[in-house]
Amino acid sequence: MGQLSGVQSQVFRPLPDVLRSEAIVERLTTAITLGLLRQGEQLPVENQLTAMFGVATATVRDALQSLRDQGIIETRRGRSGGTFIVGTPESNSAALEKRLVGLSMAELRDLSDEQASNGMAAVRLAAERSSTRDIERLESIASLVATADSAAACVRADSRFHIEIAVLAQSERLMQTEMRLLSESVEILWSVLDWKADREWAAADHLAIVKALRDGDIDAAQSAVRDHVSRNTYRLVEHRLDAMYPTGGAR
Amino acid sequence: MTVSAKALATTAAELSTWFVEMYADLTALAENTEKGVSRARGKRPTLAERDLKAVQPAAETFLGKHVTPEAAGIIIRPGVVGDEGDIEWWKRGEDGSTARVLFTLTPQTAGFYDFETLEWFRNVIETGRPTLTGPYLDYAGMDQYILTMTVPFRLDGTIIGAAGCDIELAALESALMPMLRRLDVDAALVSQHGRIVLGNSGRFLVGNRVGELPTGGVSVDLPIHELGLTLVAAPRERF
Repeated sequence: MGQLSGVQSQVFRPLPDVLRSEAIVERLTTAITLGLLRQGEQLPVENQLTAMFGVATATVRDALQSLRDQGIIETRRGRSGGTFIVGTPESNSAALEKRLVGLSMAELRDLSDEQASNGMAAVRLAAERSSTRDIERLESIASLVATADSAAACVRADSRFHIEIAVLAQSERLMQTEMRLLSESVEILWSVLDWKADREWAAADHLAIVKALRDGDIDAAQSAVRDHVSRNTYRLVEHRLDAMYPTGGAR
Repeated sequence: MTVSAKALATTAAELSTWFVEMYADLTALAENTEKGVSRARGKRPTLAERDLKAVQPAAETFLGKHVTPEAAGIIIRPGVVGDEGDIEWWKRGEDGSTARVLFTLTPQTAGFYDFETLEWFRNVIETGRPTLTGPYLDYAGMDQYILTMTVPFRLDGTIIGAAGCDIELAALESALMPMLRRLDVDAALVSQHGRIVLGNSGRFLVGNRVGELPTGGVSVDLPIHELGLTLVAAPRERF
């Protein structure tokens, strides 16, 4: 193959230079941040992790050591021994700000489009597939964010709700996509929002989605998801613009 | 806060100056290339691909003067130097050098870049006027979300293609956002098709249709050739 065309050079663009052990650390810290793995929960044993991640034992050991050094996990010996989650990853507001500023307007809009698309598809399937009891359960999850007592708790409660919609949709793929989208955006979102003031409207947005589901109104449920995503995107865009292009208080 | 006509006129003028200069230099790129191509062809009746060596230095001059575009060059219509046309496209490298971007111009092959039907080419050939295309996802081309500016490329008075440049939306944002952010109202640069090219708030997201003017909103036509660009502004509104 000689010179590559525009499209082909995309295919052969460099792979992200993330070491595998760093990828494991990243995966686990994101899961803890989103609330998918909880405090006190036990991790699978080393050779299970090795098999699941499909990496060498040494790679898993490196990753666990790094998590141990950060105070996120602890390994206890003895009969009730094992590796447990004992800490929360520190959310680094400077790093989150840098990630937000690094996204262009076009990228933020694209992210928002994917969130709206995935969320709307999931809520449609959830409307078609969930039982009355499922929706009751979703309702209790929807308002969790209103009583969350920190930005990190808001991140977990918010994530829980969006993942639950994909769960009710009974779609593993939509759930995986939702988890990826949340890992890209939800921490940044709550670093931009004022959690004390904004958790109420986040909960109200969630409850509006649940109400539409309870009414069996698929169109209303989809609109509610889209509006929720749009509001979040608006706040992200405004924050980024203020950070990058300050206007001397004119605004 | 109402929209100040004076502030709007200032921003409109700034934006116009930026675009007018870009198009003037694309015209220079076309003319410089024509001189070189004409010299290389000499007395031969038809043009050959080897006659197009003048494109690279002309594109480099253009990219050297303007930091915002990521690539520039000349596109020749099919039937002039071959049945498939020719894209002499030079992309800026990280170290200041340029590298040729190759496209698949053979129909019925994977990744075929059917540029003849695209607005940035067709409109220039059909109308002979400067054209602004986008924002669009340039599939099989640069495969990016870009804006393309083109002007006619003439040889002996006949339009045989286009000269142009590609601008990534992220780069356009760096160049033009400061101008839009000086306004204390929600404002957006809008394409002739009514789609947002760049907005200064979360209300106007790139690619979206701007739709009907909001209450208290105003729209100013930007006098840049006949590109149909407008500057739309409305009292600031929080969502």
